[in-house]
Amino acid sequence: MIPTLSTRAGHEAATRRLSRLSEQLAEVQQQIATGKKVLKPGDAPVAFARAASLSRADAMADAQRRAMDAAAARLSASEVALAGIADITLRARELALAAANDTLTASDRSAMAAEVRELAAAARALAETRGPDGEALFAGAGTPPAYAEDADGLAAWAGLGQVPQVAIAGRLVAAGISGPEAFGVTQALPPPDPLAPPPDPAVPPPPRERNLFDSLMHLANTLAEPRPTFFRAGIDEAIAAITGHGDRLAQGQALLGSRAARIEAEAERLDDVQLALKSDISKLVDTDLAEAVARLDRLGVVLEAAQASFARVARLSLWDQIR
Amino acid sequence: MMDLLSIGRSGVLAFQKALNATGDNVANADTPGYVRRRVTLATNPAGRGGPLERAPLAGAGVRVGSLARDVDALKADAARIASGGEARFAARRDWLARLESLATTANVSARVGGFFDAATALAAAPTQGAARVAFLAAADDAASAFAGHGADLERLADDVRAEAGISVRRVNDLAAALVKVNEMLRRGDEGDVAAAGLLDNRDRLLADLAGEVRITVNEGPRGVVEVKLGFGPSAVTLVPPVGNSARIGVAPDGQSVLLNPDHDPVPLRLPATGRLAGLLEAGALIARARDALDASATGFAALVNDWQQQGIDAAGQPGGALFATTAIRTTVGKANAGRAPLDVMLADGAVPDPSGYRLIAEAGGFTLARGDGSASVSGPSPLLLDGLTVTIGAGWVAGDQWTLEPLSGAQGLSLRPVQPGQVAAAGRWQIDGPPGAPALPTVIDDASALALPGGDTTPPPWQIAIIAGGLAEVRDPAGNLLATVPADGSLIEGPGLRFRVPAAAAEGALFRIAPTPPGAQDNRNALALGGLRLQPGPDGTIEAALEADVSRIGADVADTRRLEAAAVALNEDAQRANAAVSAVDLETEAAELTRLQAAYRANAQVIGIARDLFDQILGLAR
Repeated sequence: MIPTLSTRAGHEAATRRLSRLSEQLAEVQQQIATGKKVLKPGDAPVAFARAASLSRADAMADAQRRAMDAAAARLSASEVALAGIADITLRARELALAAANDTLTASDRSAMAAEVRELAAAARALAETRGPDGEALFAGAGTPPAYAEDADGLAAWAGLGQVPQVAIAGRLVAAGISGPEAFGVTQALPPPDPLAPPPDPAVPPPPRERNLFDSLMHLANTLAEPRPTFFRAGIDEAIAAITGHGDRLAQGQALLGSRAARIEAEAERLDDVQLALKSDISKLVDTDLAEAVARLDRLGVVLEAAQASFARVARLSLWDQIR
Repeated sequence: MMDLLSIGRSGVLAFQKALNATGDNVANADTPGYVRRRVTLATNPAGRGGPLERAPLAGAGVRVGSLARDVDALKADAARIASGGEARFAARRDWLARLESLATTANVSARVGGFFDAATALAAAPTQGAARVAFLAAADDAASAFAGHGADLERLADDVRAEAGISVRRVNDLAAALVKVNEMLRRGDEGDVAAAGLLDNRDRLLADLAGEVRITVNEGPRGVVEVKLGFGPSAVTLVPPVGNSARIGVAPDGQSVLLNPDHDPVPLRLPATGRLAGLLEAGALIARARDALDASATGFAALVNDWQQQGIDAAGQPGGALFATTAIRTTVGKANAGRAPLDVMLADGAVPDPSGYRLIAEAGGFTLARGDGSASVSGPSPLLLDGLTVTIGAGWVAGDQWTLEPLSGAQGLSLRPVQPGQVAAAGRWQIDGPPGAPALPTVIDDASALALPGGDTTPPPWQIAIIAGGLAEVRDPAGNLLATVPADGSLIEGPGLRFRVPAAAAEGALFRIAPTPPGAQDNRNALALGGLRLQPGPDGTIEAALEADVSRIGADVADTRRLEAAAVALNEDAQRANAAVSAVDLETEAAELTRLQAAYRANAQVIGIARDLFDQILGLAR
């Protein structure tokens, strides 16, 4: 049985049903037009919150990628400089080994000394390599220059602290290598005790720890050394020191390579993460077009039918029969 | 014969009235609040049958018994309650949707995220001017996101409070109107057209009132009603059957309703239905969103300011606060006759008095006083007090007043005038050691630490040389011995700091601790901000808390929408049930009309037959 319904209530109910259908249609239409099914948090609070935190993670990953790119650039610039210095060191070692043969004349040695001085200058220049913002790559946390002449005219590290770091997956990785790590000796030894007895001029000075540039200058000075005992002691010390520096440089290059590899691996991981994030966000908020279009069609048909039936029913009236 | 004539006459008259009522029903088919009228017919009373008046044997005809309104009090009450439920959720949804759209467009969490992302970029290029500028721009954006959203939420809270005020006024107006209708009902007749109209009017007022608040209606004689706020024994009388209505008002906090707001206010606990309840609920939710935003803003500012103070800027100086947490709002006095513009500047770092300030223009000059009266200044413009500079433009009139109040929370947040070079990206101390050292000394700032062991207070730079016996010598750069300390990893006191010398250090190793120099490329403080970003508070990280706030609003909206859909369905059912009794159905009226028309025609025929009979009698006499 059809329940009794007042005319006004009946009309209102019918129009309300029609406008509800129109609203649904407009909503689907908006979803199709914007391509998003979650536009406001109220549409789907959980999906919206999840999408917001995923978008934040995505933006964070973007910033992280840029920071890692900068660190990778710094690492590769440091690596190039170290490779150049390693070549120089190799050449200096060849010269030192050649000079260690007693067959060379004094003029040969002085020519070698000149070459070693040139090599030292070139190595110093490479050690002053700058980053994109003018920062000295080998100065640790300090300001340029990375190396400066101390009171004795020897190249001493002018930087301090540790190189800047980059955060990778919660761990800090140094974005470069500091001067002492690559070239040895953080700080020259304190000046000799003024109260100690003066060194014996006939005995060569004992070997001491020098950085790479200091060692190269020491080699050049030794090549120019006329006293045979002093020359022999000096050239032995220089060969040992430069061999040690070569090893240290190789280690430094390996260190830079491994740091770059870590950044590379993390970058790849971030790419995968970002891809997953984007697809998750899309699943959460993007409109499934096929489904939306099908729903639009269905709603359209229902609305048309509802309108037609409403118009038809509203036409029926007992009043037509009253004469 | 005369009986027949009068019976016919009574029938014609009665059915004419019934037809009139039906016509009235048809005419008012679309009038909201109109209740279907029905004429009840009754037999005319027969005569008493005395010597002068003979009791008619054939009946006395018909008369209109009463003009009834088709009402079912229970259904009408159910419809009223259901409409109040719908109005509650409609109001709540409406305001929450505004809150939702504000929160979505303000997008505070993404802008705070942008600030932290800028910190990551700064850590990647600590000496780059552009990165510092971008960092400050992002900080400004984050601060203005908080401040702008805070101001928007305050406006929204004010608006919803104003709307609640309007709703309350409507309740009071409707109650006053009901008092008048009660009076008229008491004085008028019962069961006539005027009474039916009055009752329609009364029901409309009751329906409107039920849309605003939950009411209980007790109907007395003649349709006089007593209206109570709420239901049950605790219900308070709003409209008494006799006498004036009570008045209600919104409490100043906008969260509750008061009875007799102007004198002897009593807080009312109203059932959660009606538009007013929806508005109060929306107001409470908006207040909660404001509190959450203020808490986030305060936490964010404290975190960032504290962080910035841990670091060293490009000039080698300790960082200062990045954000100011207080702002000043000026309110122009309502009674001001002048239109002077007011310029208020709060000096950087100044802390205004929490009680606020009052500025009064007098013929002789201005007076700026603290709200609690503990300090004041007088004189010509500009006035200076507590770091405030108040400049009054031309156009003031003696007696003008302004109120200055400090704003904290989200609205108080702003970026301080910080230069790009003042961003503290570097850590405080630079520590290094021999190449390949397994561990380096660590330094912790500690204001409670006073001096090195032995009492020396020379601050770093230091050189720490490991000597025999698990000891280390601390020297200044010139080589002067400051202290000999254990090299076993224990915490050692120094001037304003504490430090550890690693136990694993080889004898002869030389460590250096130095303050960060100007222009250092160190980025440890900028990196530390990345760590602070991920540091969870009670509600997760700052960004997660902000997102949770937005999604809580979204959940409220979704919840309200669901409840509203249920309330709408319930209301439709209740209205339909009520309308089935009380409203006009044109088809029914058409059928009724046909029936009454036939009856009318039949009665007219009765009169015709009576006349024919009469004529026949007269013909006999001729």
